Amino acid sequence: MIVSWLAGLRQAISSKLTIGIGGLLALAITSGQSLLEALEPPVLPALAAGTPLDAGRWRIALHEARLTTQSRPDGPPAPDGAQFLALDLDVGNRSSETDNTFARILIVDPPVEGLQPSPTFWLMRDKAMLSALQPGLPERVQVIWRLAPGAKPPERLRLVVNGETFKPRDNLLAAPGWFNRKPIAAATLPVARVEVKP
Amino acid sequence: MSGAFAKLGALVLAAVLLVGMQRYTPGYAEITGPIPLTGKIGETLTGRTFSVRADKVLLAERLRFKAYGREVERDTGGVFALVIAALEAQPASVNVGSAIWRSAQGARFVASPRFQGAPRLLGTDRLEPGLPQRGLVIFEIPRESVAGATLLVAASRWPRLDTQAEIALPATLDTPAPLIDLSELAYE
Repeated sequence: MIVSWLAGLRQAISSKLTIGIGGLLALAITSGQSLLEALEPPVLPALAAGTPLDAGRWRIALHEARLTTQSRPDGPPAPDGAQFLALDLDVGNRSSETDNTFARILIVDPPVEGLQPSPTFWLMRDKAMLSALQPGLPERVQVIWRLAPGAKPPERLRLVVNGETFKPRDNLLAAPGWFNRKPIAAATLPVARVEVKP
Repeated sequence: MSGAFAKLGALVLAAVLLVGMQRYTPGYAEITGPIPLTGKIGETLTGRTFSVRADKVLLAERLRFKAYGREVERDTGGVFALVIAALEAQPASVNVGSAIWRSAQGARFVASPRFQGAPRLLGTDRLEPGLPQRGLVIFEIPRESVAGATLLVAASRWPRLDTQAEIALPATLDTPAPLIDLSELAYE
């Protein structure tokens, strides 16, 4: 009688201890994680102009940013004195499939006031809008943002480059794909001024 | 004692089976993927909604064409591959929207979007039964992706449980022509 009661007591105590320790451990891990996230400063490796960077699916080299009056690489100046921000870059597709998601490579951070959020990508080879990049064929591309009328053009442009990682089998369809887009480098480029013709 | 061994053996066997199943059972994308229809150049392949025959492959360094009344010339860092092919819908009207150049290394090159407005491009118009269309598909590929490629033709880029014609292209091709004018191209 007393033996079985003792055994029951031991079991109850041990199960309570296990639950308690597990709970405390989970609590410690999650609070540690959120502390780390709060502490970790968002310092990204600096990317110099002209240096190629492998950003997962893309290989990218940023060149020059400048202020222009043209809305496209070869066109005449836009009417009513509109201003544009142009950025020259080289982009190569490192994946094994033709792709058109290059607009996700770059973000302007911190955002520039008056800058149109979605820029146009121009293929310099054709002086036409870029619609896809073929694997293994890098291209010179110009990105053009429109500046709102009256907006103060920025002195310098900070660009954050996003990287993606390849998964041979994704979690949903077990198909290959590129996932986990996150900032991997940042470049600060001076914005060159164009001479204003009298 | 033998009971313990049997239990351990069963556990190991179950673990091996589970790992094997996890590694080697085909994924969802694979079992609901394209249904391949293989053939050679010059052979008519008839799939569920269309039939296709690839006749000729040409290589060029530059292409000239007239689009929207304007002369356009395109060059490339690699080489242009032109596939002259015939497509026909059967039994009903269909859009065959995807042509892919799969290189021997496995890279997939979607037909180049740099030729909008060029004459006789396949895949832009809807196909009708009884009215075969002859035209061309243009790919832009690096030089090392030319040899031993396969042409994939399907209604969409990622066909799900639908026909994908897989046409083996010639292992060796002539050296690229410096310039091809699409308006002077012999399609027949």
